[in-house]
Formats: sequence, C-alpha cells, structure tokens
Amino acid sequence: MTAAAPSGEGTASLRTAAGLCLDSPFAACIVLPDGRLHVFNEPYRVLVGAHGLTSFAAPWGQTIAAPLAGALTGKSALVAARLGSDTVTLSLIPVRDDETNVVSGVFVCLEKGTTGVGFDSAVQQFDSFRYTLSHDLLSPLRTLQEMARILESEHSQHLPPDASIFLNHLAQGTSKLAERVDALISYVKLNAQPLNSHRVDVSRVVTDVLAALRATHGDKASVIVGDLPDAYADADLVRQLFTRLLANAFKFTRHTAAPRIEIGSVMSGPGQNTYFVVDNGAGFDMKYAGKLFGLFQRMHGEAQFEGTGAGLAIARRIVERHGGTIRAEAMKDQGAKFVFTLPSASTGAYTGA
Amino acid sequence: MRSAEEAMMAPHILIIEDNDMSFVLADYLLRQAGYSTSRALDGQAGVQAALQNVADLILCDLDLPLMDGYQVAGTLRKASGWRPVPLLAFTGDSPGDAHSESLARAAGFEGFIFKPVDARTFSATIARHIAPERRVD
Repeated sequence: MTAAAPSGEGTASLRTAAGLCLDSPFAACIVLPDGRLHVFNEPYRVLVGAHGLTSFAAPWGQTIAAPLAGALTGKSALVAARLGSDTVTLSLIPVRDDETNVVSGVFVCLEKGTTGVGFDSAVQQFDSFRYTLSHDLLSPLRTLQEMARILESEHSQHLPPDASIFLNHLAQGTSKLAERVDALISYVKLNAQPLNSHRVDVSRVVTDVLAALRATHGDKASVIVGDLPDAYADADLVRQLFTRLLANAFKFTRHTAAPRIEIGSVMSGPGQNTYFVVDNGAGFDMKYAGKLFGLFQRMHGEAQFEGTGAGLAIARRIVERHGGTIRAEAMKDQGAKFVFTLPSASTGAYTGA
Repeated sequence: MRSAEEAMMAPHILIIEDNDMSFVLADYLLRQAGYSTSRALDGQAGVQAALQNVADLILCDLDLPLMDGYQVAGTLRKASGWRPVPLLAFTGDSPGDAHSESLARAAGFEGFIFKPVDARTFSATIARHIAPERRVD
C-alpha cells in the first residue's frame, strides 16, 4: 500500500510512522511536505477512493489547505471535512525527524463522523504501542542478545577477563530487557483486547494447566484440586490467570522439602465465584504486599528465583478485566495464598443452566 | 579468512537492508556458513544490485527507504534483465502474520526470514532455498 515512491524521504521517524500507518486499523496516510502521499493503508484507500491516491488534498479542497500547512510547520490539527455525503474527521499529526526536528511529513488519521473517538480508542493506541514495542524495542534487543551470545560462544577466548565480565553483563542485560518487553506486550494486550466471555469449565482449565506445568516442573509437589465452579469469563484469559498463579506456586515451592499446592473455591456472594491458589513455598513478607501486583516487582533475589516480575501484574489485570478482585496473604518462608473472584457462570448467558 | 578463489566459488547472497544491526548479524552468520555477501542500503540500490545477476539468493528487508521490499520484489519479477533467484523477505513481523505474509507472497517473495535471525537455524533456512549445486555444506 505504498504510493509513488519518493526519493530522499527516508528518515527513521518517517519510516516508523509509515509502519504505524500501514498497521493501523483506521484509515491513515502520510503526506509529504510537497503534498504527495508517502504511504496509505487499505482502510484509507477504501474510504477516499481512487481520486485521493495521487494527491492528498484532492478529495478535500480548500478545507484542508490551512490545517495541512499548519501541520507541516509543526502544529497538530483536528478537522471535520465533507467527503461525498459523509463527514470525515481528519487528525493531522506532524512527523518530526528525531535528529533535526524538521517536519518530514504529516501523519493523517481519518474517521467517518465528527467525534474522532476512534483516534483515541484503546484498540488503536494498543496496536500502535504494540508495534512500537515489538519493532522498535524487542527486535533490536533480540539482535543485540544474539550478537552477545555469538561473542561469548565464539570469541570469548580472545577477550581479556575484564572484557568478558562486561560482555556477560551485556548478554544478561539484553536478555532480561527483552523478556520485560515481552511481558509488557502481554500486559498491554490485556488492557485493549475485548473480552470474549463464555461459560468456562474452570476444573478442566486447571487440569490442563497443571499437566503442562508438571511437564516442566516434575511431580515433586503434591497438588490438591478442590471443587471449582464454572465461571462466565474469557477462557483464554482464565487459562493465563491459572497458568501465572500456578507457575508461581511451582516455582516458589522449588526449594521446599515437601511442596504442597492447593487450588479450590470458597462460598461467596451471588454472581461471583471465589477461588484460591495456596502453596507452602518461599512466601514473602506482607509489608511488601502493596508492591506485589506491580509490573516488574520482584520479592526475591534473581539468584534464588528467576522471572521478570510481570506474572502477578498480569494476573491482577485479568481478574480486574472481569470485574473481580485479587488479594494475597503470605508469610515469609511459610507460603503464599492468592484469593480472587471471577463472575459465576450463573450470572452470564447460562442463568439456570 | 577465505581466499579470493574460495570467495568466488562461494554462493553469493545479496542482502538488501538499511538497518545496520540486522545487516551485521545476518552478514556475519552467512559468511560463517561459507557464503559471500554484498549489501544494498535501500530498495532502488537493491534492484540495481540484483540486476547484475551475481547473487544466488536475495534477502530483502520489507521496510526500506526509497522503495520498499514489496516494490523491490514486484520490480524484479517484471524486469526482463533479471535472472530469477530465490527472493526471501527479511521481516520484523511475527511468523504467522497472515496479512503481511500474503502481501509478501503476492509481491513475489518465495520465503521468509524473521528478524531477529536465530543463529542456529538461519543458514540452514537459507541453504534450503539455494539451488542444490550452489549449496555450501
């Protein structure tokens, strides 16, 4: 979906903007300072039709001239304009070159109607943000990680000891950063994806999750699964929730002599199921409980237990997305208990079933 | 280091990639695997280099300045002076992104290398696309 290829317009920021434009679920294009289109996406082509594909201004006439000129000097603008019998809101955002600060193009989002709500919608923000996270952060980090690995495995014999230490930190640091970006992508995804709620057989989900975790963690822990009523929730997210909580339970009982994990439910008010996951592992000091569900918060040294510290933040977002709550009770070296609520299957489409 | 003679014999890979980091890693791994390489920094230069018909395989980034990877593939597929060789898309998209895969296939790419490259599988993937008589062991 690239228009006539211009020459000399290859700034990094313009290319990043072009990526965002092509990925956007909304109609979007990028206009160059001379008024030509740099790129446009498929929704744009559908919205403006063939006459808007050569010159950006053609379908809009004078309405757009002043705001476009303003955007090219660095001023964002929101314009309502007529397109046939429709009103279209155009949002014009200058794209500046990172180094010179010169405006190298204008990013234009278009939406039918005058509200412009879609431009700010969580979905679009998420898509742009995820694109940035994965292309501009994760991908270069993974490349650095691979380079450090090659240096370590193929060239470490030529390095003085001091250099090896730095290299080791570089390798570990890039790996950790990449894991965090990965976790951040999962976390951001949770905030924007619509819930796809159905009746969920929680017992079945827990059985599956346990089977998968047993494959990596072994059979050392004794696991007790109590009665788990069906929930009305997004099945994928419920699976993720139990995976996060149970993976933690396995991890933090790893150094426990007789590890024990219990999953169950307790009586709770109408419309809500209350579940718990309890273990007798490393636990944590309750004075840090406030930090427990924060992103990248870790309660233990990395030498003791690995991990990015994103699991419980993700677990909390999953519960909150379903209108529930989650809390933790723990004692250092005595284990931890997580208690959370999800909508009961009887509140959803399955009333009386 | 390989001798000039060996380098002449080695299958040649043209890498069309504007990002230095992506290029350096791919280039290193390919040379380690016994290929010779050359680089073009943008789509237009990539088409010119490809039309010299010295490469046994072309690895082309999709997000390139001046002319993007899809246009490079489209231009080469139509060019009468091009002796066709495997054309692989070098992409930062995730494997399984059906939209970008179908776009790239429609433009004329026959396969994908996903960034960042995995050093353990990269040269084997390249080898699968190279004509049997031009493969390195």
